[in-house]
Amino acid sequence: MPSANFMNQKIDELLKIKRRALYDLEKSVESLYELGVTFVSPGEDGIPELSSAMKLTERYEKTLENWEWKVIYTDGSELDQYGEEDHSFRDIKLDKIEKVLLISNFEFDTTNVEKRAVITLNRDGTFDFLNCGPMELRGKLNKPVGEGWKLILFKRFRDTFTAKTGGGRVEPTGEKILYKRYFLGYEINGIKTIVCAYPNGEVRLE
Amino acid sequence: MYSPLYKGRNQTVENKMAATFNWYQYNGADTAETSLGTGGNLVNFMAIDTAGTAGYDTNPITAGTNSMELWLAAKFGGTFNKIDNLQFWQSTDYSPNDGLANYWVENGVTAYAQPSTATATATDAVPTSDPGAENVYIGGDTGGSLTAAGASDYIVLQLRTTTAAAAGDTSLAEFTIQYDES
Repeated sequence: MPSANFMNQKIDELLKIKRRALYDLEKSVESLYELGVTFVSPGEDGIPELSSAMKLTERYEKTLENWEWKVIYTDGSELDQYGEEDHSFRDIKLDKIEKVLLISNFEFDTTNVEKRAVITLNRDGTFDFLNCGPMELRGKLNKPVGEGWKLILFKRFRDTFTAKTGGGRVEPTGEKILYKRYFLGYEINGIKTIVCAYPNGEVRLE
Repeated sequence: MYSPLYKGRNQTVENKMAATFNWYQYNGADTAETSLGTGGNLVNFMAIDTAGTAGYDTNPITAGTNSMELWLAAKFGGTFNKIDNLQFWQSTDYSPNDGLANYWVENGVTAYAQPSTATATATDAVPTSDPGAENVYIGGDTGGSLTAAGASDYIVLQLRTTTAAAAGDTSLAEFTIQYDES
């Protein structure tokens, strides 16, 4: 028969495992939020957690997109991804592009008049960044490459599901996460230059 | 200063334009199709050929045997320009994972076959990290894509166990699919 001492040691060990698990849970969820991952119940669309320096625009609830694109043509006309009508890549007049913009549906706490993050791909292949993008990236992408490039513009979705097996002692549960990244760039002479906009506002060169 | 993106249209989440995505499961000899939805605990590994999660408790896999194969497909609808670059991996392993291993068919399967507990089909270990490149084909071809509603090739999963597997419930294993939409 186990001694009282043994039982106390066993209880201590299990409490340690439980507390460590709770600590790990809290820390991992916090880190996932910082990366821009959204947790939702299956079947729901979800509102992301943002840092205190950011807030979602009203528009996010309309489109559930962290970033949206807008095209400005050489004649000054514009095409919004979600404008009067909704559009996809195939609606873009590729030979008349003056600028392509990725605009965030969240705002930063900044003194700038424009509080959204904006990435602009110009006709000459240079990029402009407003309220986003590290200086190092800006320096790399400010050299004109000329015209004739091929536009790259797409979203990358990540979706998960879970599975298990067993004897039914624990009801299966699961959660859904949303994680979308947005890519803007071009290809010229077989070389691709692509910027990735993350749901947490980060911008990186792919 | 940029002009406002939102022009006052009474747009709702439901009518926004984007591709729609759902997991489907296929069972039986004649490709019975069941919509599973997305996210959460969508399917379970069992000893019988049935869809979804129900019945996993009464049809457990005996340690040392294999599960019935799960035949799944990612189906896309709605409006989009192109869907491509499908990547699939097991993002979270069982914990503990003693005696538990998930297998699949790299790049998917184009022709349906009735699920089985045999190991002849799902012979590749499921990748446990982002593969970094397409590993689920569309239409049986590398670089395949959808430009209208359609589905990926079949994703066939099977849980193989050894006698080292613990009795009772396993933890949840998590699977991730990633795709590009333009």
